[in-house]
Amino acid sequence: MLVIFLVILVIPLSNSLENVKTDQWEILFSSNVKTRDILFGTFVGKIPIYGLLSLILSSVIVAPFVYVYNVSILGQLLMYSIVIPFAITTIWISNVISTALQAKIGQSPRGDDIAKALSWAMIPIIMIPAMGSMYWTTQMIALMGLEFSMILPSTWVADVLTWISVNSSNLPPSSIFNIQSYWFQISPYISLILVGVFAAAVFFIGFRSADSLFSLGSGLGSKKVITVGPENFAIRGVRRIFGSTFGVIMATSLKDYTRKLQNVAKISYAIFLSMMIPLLLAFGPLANVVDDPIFVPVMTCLSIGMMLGIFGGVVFGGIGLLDSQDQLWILKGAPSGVPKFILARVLSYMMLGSIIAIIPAVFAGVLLQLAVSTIAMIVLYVYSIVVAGIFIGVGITAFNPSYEDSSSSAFAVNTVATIFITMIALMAGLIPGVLMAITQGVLGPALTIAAIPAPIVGLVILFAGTIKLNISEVV
Amino acid sequence: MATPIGSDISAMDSEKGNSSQVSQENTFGYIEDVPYVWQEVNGYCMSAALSMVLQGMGLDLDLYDLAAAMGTGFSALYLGIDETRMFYPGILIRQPEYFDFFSEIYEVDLAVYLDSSTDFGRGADYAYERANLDYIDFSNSTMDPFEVLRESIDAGIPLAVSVDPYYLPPDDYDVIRQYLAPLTENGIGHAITIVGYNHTSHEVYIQDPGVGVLDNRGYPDDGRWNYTMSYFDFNRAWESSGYYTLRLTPGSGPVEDFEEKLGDFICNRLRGDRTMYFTGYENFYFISAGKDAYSGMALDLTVDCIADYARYFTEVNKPDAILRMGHMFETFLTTQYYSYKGALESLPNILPEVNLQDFLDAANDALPHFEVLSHNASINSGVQVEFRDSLIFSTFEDIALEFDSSGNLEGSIALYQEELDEIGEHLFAIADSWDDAANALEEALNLPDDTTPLETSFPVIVGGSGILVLAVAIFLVKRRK
Repeated sequence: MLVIFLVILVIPLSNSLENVKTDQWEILFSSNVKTRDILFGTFVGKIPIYGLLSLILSSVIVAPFVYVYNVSILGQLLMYSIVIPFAITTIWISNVISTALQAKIGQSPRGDDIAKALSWAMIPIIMIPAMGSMYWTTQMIALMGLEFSMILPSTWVADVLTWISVNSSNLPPSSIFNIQSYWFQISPYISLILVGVFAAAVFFIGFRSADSLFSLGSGLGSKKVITVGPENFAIRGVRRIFGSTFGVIMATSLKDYTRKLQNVAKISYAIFLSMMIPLLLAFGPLANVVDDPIFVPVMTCLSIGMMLGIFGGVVFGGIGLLDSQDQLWILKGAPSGVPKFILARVLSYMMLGSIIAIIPAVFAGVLLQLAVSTIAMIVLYVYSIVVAGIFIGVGITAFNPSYEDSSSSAFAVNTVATIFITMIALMAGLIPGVLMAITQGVLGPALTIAAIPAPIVGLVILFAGTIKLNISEVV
Repeated sequence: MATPIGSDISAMDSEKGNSSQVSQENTFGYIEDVPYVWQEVNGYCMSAALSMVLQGMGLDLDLYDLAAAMGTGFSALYLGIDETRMFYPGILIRQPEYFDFFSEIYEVDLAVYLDSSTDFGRGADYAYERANLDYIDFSNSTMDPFEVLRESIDAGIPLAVSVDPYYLPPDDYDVIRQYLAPLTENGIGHAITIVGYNHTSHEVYIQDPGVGVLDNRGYPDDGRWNYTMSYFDFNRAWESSGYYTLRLTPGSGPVEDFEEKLGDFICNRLRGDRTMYFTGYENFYFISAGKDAYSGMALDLTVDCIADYARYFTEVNKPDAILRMGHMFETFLTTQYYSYKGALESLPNILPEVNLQDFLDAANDALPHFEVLSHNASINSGVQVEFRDSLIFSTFEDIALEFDSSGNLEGSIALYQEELDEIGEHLFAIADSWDDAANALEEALNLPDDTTPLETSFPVIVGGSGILVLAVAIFLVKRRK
């Protein structure tokens, strides 16, 4: 229930931070519209789409109860009558938080970038404790000696739902007695009251705080004077390695990419998701089922590779490649401008890609207690897939530049094409690789075979994309 | 100062390995004068076999002393789901955990052996794995079961082993050979005590606690409980039962906090502490333990609930299913009654320093209700159900007959709702008695109060919510300023 609660909370939050709309609010404020009206309006506007999401998630919650306890129709209706208001309350919380965040950061010079970064970072920030609660609740209770989840509204709702479902089920009375006596930490009546009080309090506090939380204006953070400091050793190293001319392009490319908070957030997000896989392999439901010296590293490679291959394309391709048509025009004006620029971009991305390949792969290896040689093989495999993703992502964006507009159709098409081609290229290598691992029980050759097709496909697309970009006319 | 019975270490030392009783040659070993313990009721074979082993070691613990010291007399379980409505007496619930607890508080070394490569051994292996208890698996060891047997006898200690009664020689087991088959993975084995061996004639000497129990033959006065089997025949019986063996060796005697540990254990068994009964399965809502076993069974004696149970059977089999439900309820309640009664009588000897008067007063309240719900004929029934005139059996028999003639399931059950309610009242009374007894024992031993989850969590919820509200309020006030 906590996970579903957080999903309903985080998705609208993340989505609304993708597009900061404080400019619109200023227009509305000038027409004597109250802040609480804006708050309520944005909330009502979100209800149809997120209400639909809540309805789908509600059925995910209700269905297992119905299946296990054979809950009557009346019972199901009662359950929905609890879940849906709670989901709406959650959307309201999400709305209040996102509006407050937008108001805070929207007016700062880097507001849009920070908001986009936050929209990416929000998911791991909220989902890490949620995932943790799924696997380590028992240990936490043992450690604290208390059922800490009882202070969470999601637990109250879960208790009320359980209570309704068992009392409208065909379970034997002894089972209902056991559930009521031993499953609930507090009386379901108290839980019901707590849910009601929570919903009322959330709406009340949201409205009351509207004026104070949503005062627009640049905060202290936005008034910071940007200063230029000395370059770090990595940038200096890049300049030294690639010489004076190409080194400048490389250093600019690296700075250009890492300066944007949203890019850093995307890389962090990719690393977070990739680290979740070994965590699930080590402590999840399959942890005690499979303990095979070939299966475990192959599964690790497969899952991390797929995750990072797609991320390599999406994170490094797309809006990260070219800022504007003006930039392209400048590049085309320089001798071999476009190929050099693409090469610099790809090389700098490959340097950054090494981080997102090494951290999860080494983390997985240590967590799953794999041999050093196996960890090295996983790192190499994952890196080859990340590089393939970079080639494909940059190649496709070069074919069809989307510049900085993440809401353009070109961006959407590029993203889908990148994911699709990366997946196909990955599968082309994985199938023979996994077959070899299963039939011959060898890891090194299997990973080598699995690693070859994707970078080759990527290189072809990259070359084609570069040629297309070089010969294309700037509108 | 009075000491608990069975705690006399000096007696144990003098008995153990007495050279006058055990031949020091490796070809022959026999432990004389091991007191014979008859198991009396089905299910108590291993307890009786262990009692013989313990008495052979010098620990004077009879069958009912073990029912008290292991907690079996104070345990019960009810399982109510789908086509299962079954009450289990304490002795039939996860026996390995009782043995482990007993060996822990009496500080005797208990070594468990089994062979997981056999069908029955696989089941035993699962039971020990599930309970997270140590054991030695013959299939992963170079040890030979007969070597363990000879070593124990040579050390002067009888050996408790599980066997398949199908292969045992006494004619008491003819009924098993006639109607049943050798043991399977989830079958129920029998336990006997090995008191000697002859490696020259390849024979083992056995004391069998189970003869006379089946077919209501009674205590085996004729001495047929003491018999000899060839290695070959005995191996068949032992192997079929997974070579499951309990080997005891003397330790340092009862633990220092013996009274508290045993008292706490009994309190938790009576109350039905779900973690203690079935760790890892606490959320299995269809299992009720301790006092809840009785109240759970009482709650399920409704028209809807019995009808739901009967619907899992075909129309033809419904009467028999209803009859068997009543029969099994009564059989296992009777089994529990005797062990509970015996354990209550023994406990003052086990805990002589504790004033158990209040506990016994509360616990004895359950006995008249057990008396009404029990019948000797139930536990003496063999393969065939023995018809008798008793509250539980007669009620279910009447429901079955009524349904057989009318074909109306709910109507047939509803006709006997009054009798079902009467059974329920007795069961609720037993549940109350067990709860009161646990409270009284807790008080007598000054054990820490077992607080309920509600009591521990409520301050957390109120406190946590209060802090949250306060934080929001402070934040809002600050913003205003």
